[in-house]
Amino acid sequence: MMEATSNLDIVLTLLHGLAVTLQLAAVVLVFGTAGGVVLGVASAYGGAPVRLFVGALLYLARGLPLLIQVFAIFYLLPLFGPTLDRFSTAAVALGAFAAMTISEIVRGGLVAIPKGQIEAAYSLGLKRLMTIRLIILPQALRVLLAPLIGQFVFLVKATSIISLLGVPELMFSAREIIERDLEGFKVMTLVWLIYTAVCMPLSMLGRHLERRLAIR
Amino acid sequence: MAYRLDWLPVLQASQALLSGLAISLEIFLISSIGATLLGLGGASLMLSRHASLRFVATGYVELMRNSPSLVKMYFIYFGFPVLGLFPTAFWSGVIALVLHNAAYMMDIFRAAFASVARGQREAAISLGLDPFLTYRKVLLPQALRRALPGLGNYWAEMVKDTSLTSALSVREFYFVFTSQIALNMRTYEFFLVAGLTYLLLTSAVAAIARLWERALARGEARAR
Repeated sequence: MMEATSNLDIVLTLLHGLAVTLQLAAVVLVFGTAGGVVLGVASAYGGAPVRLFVGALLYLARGLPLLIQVFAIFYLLPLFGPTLDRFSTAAVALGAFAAMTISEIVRGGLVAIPKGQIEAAYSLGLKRLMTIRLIILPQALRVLLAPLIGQFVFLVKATSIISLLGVPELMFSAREIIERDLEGFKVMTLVWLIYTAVCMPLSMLGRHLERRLAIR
Repeated sequence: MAYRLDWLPVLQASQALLSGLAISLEIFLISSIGATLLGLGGASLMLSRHASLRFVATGYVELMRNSPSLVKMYFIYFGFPVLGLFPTAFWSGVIALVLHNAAYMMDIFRAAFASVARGQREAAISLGLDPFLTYRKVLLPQALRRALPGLGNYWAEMVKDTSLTSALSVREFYFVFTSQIALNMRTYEFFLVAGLTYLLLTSAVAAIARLWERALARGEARAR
């Protein structure tokens, strides 16, 4: 007879999974935002070819289930790129998806600024960096900050998909306990609360920003 | 490394793929209709005059959208047996997708109804329409048109989310696709077929939402 896992063991196992989820989320958000800013700036100011290229990638990122995208990276990356462990592969897959979706948010924020303002700034003698810092960023951030935070929440939740590819994050740990001890109700209630505790402050921040930064 | 495309395994698997596709479509249709109707009902709660109803509705939205839909699928499938309920994998997936996505639909409908001009309701009532007719003939069509862009996005999301039910071993399209790859290793061929199928489905759903929105906009323009 196998001994049933105690409540403490369940909580500890889940917290262990949560640590992996948070690490993965942190890597994905940081690299996704960095990549998204680069791609977003490129497609806002880079001309038609860049915009078409990024647009095509975005169409795939949005039109295909994330599960199939992640599965494709898990399969293709070892064939064409370096062989990484599961966590890093997951980070690459979700990070690429994050960069694509965030690039569209960044692009939206940038194209919302009338071109005349940038020309006006130049004609007033402002240097490129000053124009970005004083004219573009303050206005673009106003438009893109709330959707960006919303996308962060989506991405944190999306890390749960990685459990299906064997990365031992929160959902994976939950399923492990359930398959061993059949404590489905207890375990999933805890997992539900844990995700909510992580995501709710973030979504509340997003809505707060949305209200505060709304252009009236 | 030469890889020769070989479509025979895909043809041989076409029966399995099609039955997977049928299950995916079934999951999508039931869950998207369910989520939309629940979202519509929930939006009325969010706009209710009673603070307690608004509180319940907002609480529901927070409870749903701060965790992955996968959590709800597992909660129903692995958790309900404690309560003496044994939902199948299919229905666990469907119910989870309905409950999860309804929260987003509620928010979309709430904003849409809030944006319909106040005078519309007052005018309808002063013309002698009862509250049901006012809702059905005046408020709903206008709100629906405003909600459709958002709804279309989430319907497309829900097409993709059907693949998550594979986590409960529902034999839908994604499940069949991965098991076929494991079976005969014709990875690229199956990736192409599966990828194009999903792209086609999500694009079609988005297009239907756009056409519907345009039709309602025409109706509204005629009424002016």
